[in-house]
Amino acid sequence: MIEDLFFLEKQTYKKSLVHSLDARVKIIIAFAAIIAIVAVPYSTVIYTVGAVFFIFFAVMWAACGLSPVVYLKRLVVILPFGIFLIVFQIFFKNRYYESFTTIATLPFGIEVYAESVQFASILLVKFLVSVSFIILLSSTTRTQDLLEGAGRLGLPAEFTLTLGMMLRYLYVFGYMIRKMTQSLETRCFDPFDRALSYRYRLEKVAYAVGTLFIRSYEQGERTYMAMLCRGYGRESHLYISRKPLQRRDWIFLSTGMVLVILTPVLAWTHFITLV
Amino acid sequence: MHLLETRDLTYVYPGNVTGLDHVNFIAGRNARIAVIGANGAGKSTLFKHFNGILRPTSGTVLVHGEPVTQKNIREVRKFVGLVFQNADDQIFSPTVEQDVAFGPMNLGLDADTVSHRVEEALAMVGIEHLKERVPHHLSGGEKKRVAIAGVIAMEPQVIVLDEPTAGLDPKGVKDLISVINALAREYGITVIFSTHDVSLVPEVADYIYVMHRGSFVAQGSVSTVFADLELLCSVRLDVPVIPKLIRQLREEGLDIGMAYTLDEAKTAFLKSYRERA
Repeated sequence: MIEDLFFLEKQTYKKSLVHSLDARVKIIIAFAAIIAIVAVPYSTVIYTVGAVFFIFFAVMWAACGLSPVVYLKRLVVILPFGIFLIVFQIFFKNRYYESFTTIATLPFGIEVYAESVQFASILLVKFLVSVSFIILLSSTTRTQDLLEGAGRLGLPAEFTLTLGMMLRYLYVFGYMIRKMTQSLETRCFDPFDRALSYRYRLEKVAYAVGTLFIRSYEQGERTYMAMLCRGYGRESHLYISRKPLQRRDWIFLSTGMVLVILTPVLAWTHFITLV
Repeated sequence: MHLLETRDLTYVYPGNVTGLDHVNFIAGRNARIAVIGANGAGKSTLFKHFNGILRPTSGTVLVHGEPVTQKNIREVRKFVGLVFQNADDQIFSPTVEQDVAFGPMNLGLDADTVSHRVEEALAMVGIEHLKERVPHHLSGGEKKRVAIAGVIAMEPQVIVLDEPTAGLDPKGVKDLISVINALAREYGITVIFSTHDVSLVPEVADYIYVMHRGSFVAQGSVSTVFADLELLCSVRLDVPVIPKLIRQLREEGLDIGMAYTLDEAKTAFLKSYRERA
């Protein structure tokens, strides 16, 4: 699990046109796409908008030079949370439809409705597009750049300092956990080794977790002292230097925003005229 | 007036463990002071009093002649910069630049001044090229220099380094020695550091305090302190290898002058050899 953190970081250090874009541009495009797809009314027009957005995402992913496997792996990790909610929708009526047609009846009187299946598919499209843009953003932007970008876009100073420290110590503890795991491995401890008793394995894992907890507490104390030594107070905030957007950032931002705004507007207008 | 002084400083930890026992310490302008002692001697406890992290149980800490109080704590921390033993305790920002800027930002300086101070501090410790890097991609020596830069950026008059060479490789130690020497000689900053590695002391210190069980058991110049081998052994320390070798050669009857650093030893050996030839 902790290796995923380092794997993800490694992806963000690759070089490509998308990687080199200013973090602000990527944040704005990603959140604009999410807001736009979420704002599309619950109707079949979502399939058209979703397809255009997904093509936009796919082109960006291809341009960033990362393997599709990276995307799929990360999607698989996130999918269960959304899929769980989406699948359950097919068994329930919702406020977006007036009448419901039963297409299957399951034991215990559970029914599956055609309209609910359609509603679930709409949710799935919204979910997939939103998650894909978040994966693109986090796979092509370094965490510190994300934070600086968010700060330059107006994220309050209280958040940037706290998030900055969280990011810093995420990696410190990442390395700490890696070392602890390696030290357990060098002494032939495997928490999944069935040759060892369940109780023994549980006990050792609990010790490791407990040690980590104590170390994190101590680290917090030491860090706070170091912060005080350098004048930490109520007014403290993270230093974010000025950085103007380059021409290519402006071009990408304007093109992306036109696409993200016009696609749902045109698709919805077309849909209304047809209805 | 001394830049930093303690008078009968005593500190008792919870559980009635005496950390410091009537410690009297003086640091003048542009001094290079080593506080040596075995593990648990009280070096870190003493250092934490220098900028008000710990408050004395009894006795006084004077910074530029003024006792450390809650009222002047901000000024004291601006005046006395403390570099922690473990750089990961001190580097808490996502990038090197942001971490070095942390202190100046807290002083309420404007963005241009902060930027200028960051550039200056990074240049002073020779790590301008690491500005955009994230701390977890740095080596131990680089992290240590980032930690020092973070303190230098506040423009203190005294820098206190707690075990600065701990965990560094020989090149890291060598680089750090030149940084410490440059701080004192080129920038006029008073440098106080602790160590139990006595071999590096003659290279970076003009004055030594020997600490044992919370008290100073000896103090003086390099030659004075390292002349007393018995005392150093009794406090679980040793004499650097160069004066130790010369002392043994003298006991064997060789007429050679005492030396503490490599350059001094080279001169002493050449002189002795030429006199014999």
